[in-house]
Amino acid sequence: MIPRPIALAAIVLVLAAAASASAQATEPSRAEYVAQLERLCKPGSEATQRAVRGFRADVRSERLRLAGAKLAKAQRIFAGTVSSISRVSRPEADRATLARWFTALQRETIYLGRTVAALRAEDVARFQRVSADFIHEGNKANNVVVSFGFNYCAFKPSRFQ
Amino acid sequence: MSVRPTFRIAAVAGCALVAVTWACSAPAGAEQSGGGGVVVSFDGSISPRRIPRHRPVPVSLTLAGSVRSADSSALPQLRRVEIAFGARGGLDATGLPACPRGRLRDATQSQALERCRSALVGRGRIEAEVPLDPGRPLLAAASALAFNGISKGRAAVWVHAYSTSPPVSFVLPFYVKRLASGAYGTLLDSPVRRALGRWPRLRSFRLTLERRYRVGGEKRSYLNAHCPLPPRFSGFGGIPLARATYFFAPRPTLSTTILRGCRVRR
Repeated sequence: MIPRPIALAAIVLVLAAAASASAQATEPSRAEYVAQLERLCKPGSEATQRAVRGFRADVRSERLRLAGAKLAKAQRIFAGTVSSISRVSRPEADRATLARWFTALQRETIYLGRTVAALRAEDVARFQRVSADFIHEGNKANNVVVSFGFNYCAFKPSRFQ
Repeated sequence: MSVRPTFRIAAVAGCALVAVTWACSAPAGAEQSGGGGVVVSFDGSISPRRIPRHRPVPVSLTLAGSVRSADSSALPQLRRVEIAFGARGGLDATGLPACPRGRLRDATQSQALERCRSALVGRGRIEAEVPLDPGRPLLAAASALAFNGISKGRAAVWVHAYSTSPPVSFVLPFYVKRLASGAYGTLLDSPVRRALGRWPRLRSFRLTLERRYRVGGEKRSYLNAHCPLPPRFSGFGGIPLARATYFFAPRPTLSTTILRGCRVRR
């Protein structure tokens, strides 16, 4: 007969080992994580490109409300994508880096919203200021995860044609 | 030194030549992109930043880039680099003397200047490493001079790099191509691997292109730009200034676009 405390300790150890093994089994590698996020980002990225087509020309011609409407659509897509990728399980070793990235993405969402508001209000001065913050934040977010090699999940101004 | 009437590519280059995307108030740090275990960066600026809305004025253009591995392993070999800039223009080398590339070969910096000073269009620095011992690669930090050149009847920029320790002298050619469509008007294309040889790996570069000169009493500039913001925009436009594409052997290919602004000078 095994003494009761030892039996309990053994059960706890077995359960802990099983939980750890299960966590390792579900935790993706960086390559898997990147592939999964890219799959989630691709449709949003393509939809954004369609939504903002002609955006530059609209701004250049000072059709600011129209440009604002296009950017508002992009903002909704962006927020939806950030929400869906934030739910994906992250590689243990990259958790701190990814936390910084998601913080930067949240800030991008805020600046994008402010840019939309400035365009809707046809406030050129504010638009110039807040859109600069948006671009700057986008670059910062990219630099945090540059070694991950994201394409669709990276901020690319060239998509805003 | 050959002095030839040259290329009527266009009179306008640089920052201000593309459609406005949106505003951008301060030069951000270098933009980076990564993939395939490689991280590249690209940065650039135009000076002065306050320029007229319509009338092109002389400017200088600074371009800088770097290459590193994502995981501190050996630096990958850059096969080719392309730099696109200036939506409606490019380099205007009309009447500017051109230096034959052969005159720069194996030259020290002072020899290069002595031979081709009248074709000088820029200065900078280039860093390369030679991984003879992969654990401790030999680093060469070279001063660079850019000269106006001609290759097969077309515009080129010869970047002559010289370092005293270790003693290194090489010429990195940039062939100028006019782009008929897209956001940029001029492409500088450099076959880095062919120019540097098998061993050296380009690590970083920084070049400032600028040259003002006279042709027949007329003042000219190698680079000109204006700030084509819409009438109500007085500040900056988040404008695609340039795009660098790095081709590594055998892969990946990484592209980075930089947005930089301008301010309207009244």
